[in-house]
Amino acid sequence: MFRPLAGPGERIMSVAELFGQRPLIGVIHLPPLPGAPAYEGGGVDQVVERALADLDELQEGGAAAAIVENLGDAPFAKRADKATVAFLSVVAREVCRASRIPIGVNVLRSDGEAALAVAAAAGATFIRVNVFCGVAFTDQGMIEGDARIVLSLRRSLRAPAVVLADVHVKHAAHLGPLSDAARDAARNGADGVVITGGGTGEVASPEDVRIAKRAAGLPVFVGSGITADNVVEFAAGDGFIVGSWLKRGGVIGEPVDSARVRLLIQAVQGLH
Amino acid sequence: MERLRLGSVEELFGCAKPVIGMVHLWLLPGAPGYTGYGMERVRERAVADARALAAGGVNGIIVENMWDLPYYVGSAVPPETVTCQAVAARAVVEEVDVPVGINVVHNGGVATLAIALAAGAQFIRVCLLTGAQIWDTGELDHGCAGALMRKRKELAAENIKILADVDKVRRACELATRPVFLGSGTSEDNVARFLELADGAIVGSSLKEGGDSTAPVDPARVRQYVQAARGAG
Repeated sequence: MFRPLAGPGERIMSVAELFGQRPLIGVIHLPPLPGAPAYEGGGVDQVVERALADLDELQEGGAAAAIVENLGDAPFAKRADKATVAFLSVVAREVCRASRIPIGVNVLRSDGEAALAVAAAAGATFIRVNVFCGVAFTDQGMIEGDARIVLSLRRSLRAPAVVLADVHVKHAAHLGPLSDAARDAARNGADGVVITGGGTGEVASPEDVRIAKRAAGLPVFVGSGITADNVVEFAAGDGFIVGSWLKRGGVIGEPVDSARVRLLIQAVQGLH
Repeated sequence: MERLRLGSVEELFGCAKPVIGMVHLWLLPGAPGYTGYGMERVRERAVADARALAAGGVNGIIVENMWDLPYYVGSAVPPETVTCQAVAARAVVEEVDVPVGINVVHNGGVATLAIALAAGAQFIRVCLLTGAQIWDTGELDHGCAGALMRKRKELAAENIKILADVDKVRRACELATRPVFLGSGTSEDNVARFLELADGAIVGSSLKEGGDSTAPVDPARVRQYVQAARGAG
């Protein structure tokens, strides 16, 4: 099969090249940004400060990568507000500048075009797209995937960001079996796929991971509900994207806690 | 009326008759002529020009995506322009002490405000706030005041000032209850004459090496221009 390029002759890194083996990707959740209903006003500095504190904890705990996400912007827009996108790019840029691990971008609810544009501006090396192809019936309404737009933009911006595509993303109902969705994600040019449970912090099914892996033939990330206790059930997972459990006390609104990062990594290293 | 005009200039730029120098960004990713040199180079060049402008004594700087030709218009300005210009403008804001503004061509409106807020810029230039016109790219465009002013209110960003293009300097100066800036074509030779009428000047090309708009900013030319403008006092 032909693989999309980041420009003529410009290859995209594989998931393994970018992250190494079985990475833990920690999520840096941002507070409400300009354009969001809960935005409280104020400049970029305090958002950057919080993000960098989370980055420090993730790096200190040994996370392989971090992904910046506008979780505070709920209720999300299908296409993010321009003010949100601009703000996010400055925050992501500062996180990239301060980091020694790969940085990713996820623009909720599923704005892959904006995520890629932010990555290009900030120097981020991967993006996550919640609805990359197909249709999802989400809490924001019906969302259509835009693989073509994302991959064409990656090419025109010459921004070689690895694309992690959710299949049957959380907070949504889906048509058709998971195996079809996973196969389609691969066919549409995703570099890796992400499996989630029903909602943020809710655990995915280990069987879904195996199904997606067989159907997509791509690395499969578990993208919700992972804890140091249950990760043992996900030996089939090629990587883990973890937000809630890495926070102090496992509470989503809290800062990231490096001790929990370390605990989870120890558990991941125990997998066979 | 006179006091209102001059008061708001001094509030923003800290002086009367400010000279505002342009940082013309290199082609941003996504522009047809972009060759993949990366945002690091874009930032470096922007910061170097900003530094040269500040060293030459300008009172303000505008960061503009001058070379993203052919331009998108208004709400068609794509996300990569917003993200890349925000990151470049942020680097300029961090570098210089003078107020920084944003202009997105053509008539980026809300995108311009979005970039300004993210970058910590203090004002924006809006090429078509009211009325209608046809751009060189062919689009019939209209003012964006309704959306822009509402967005500024929604974002609690009313501290970001708006400079709106109009034409006809003398008439504008007679009628305006806001400061009037010259936005093109001034040089060391004519700026003093223009500033007898106008409240400030925005200048790009004539501050570049050899007056070539594609060249880097030349601090010596900036100094000469600023001295000529000061002569207008």
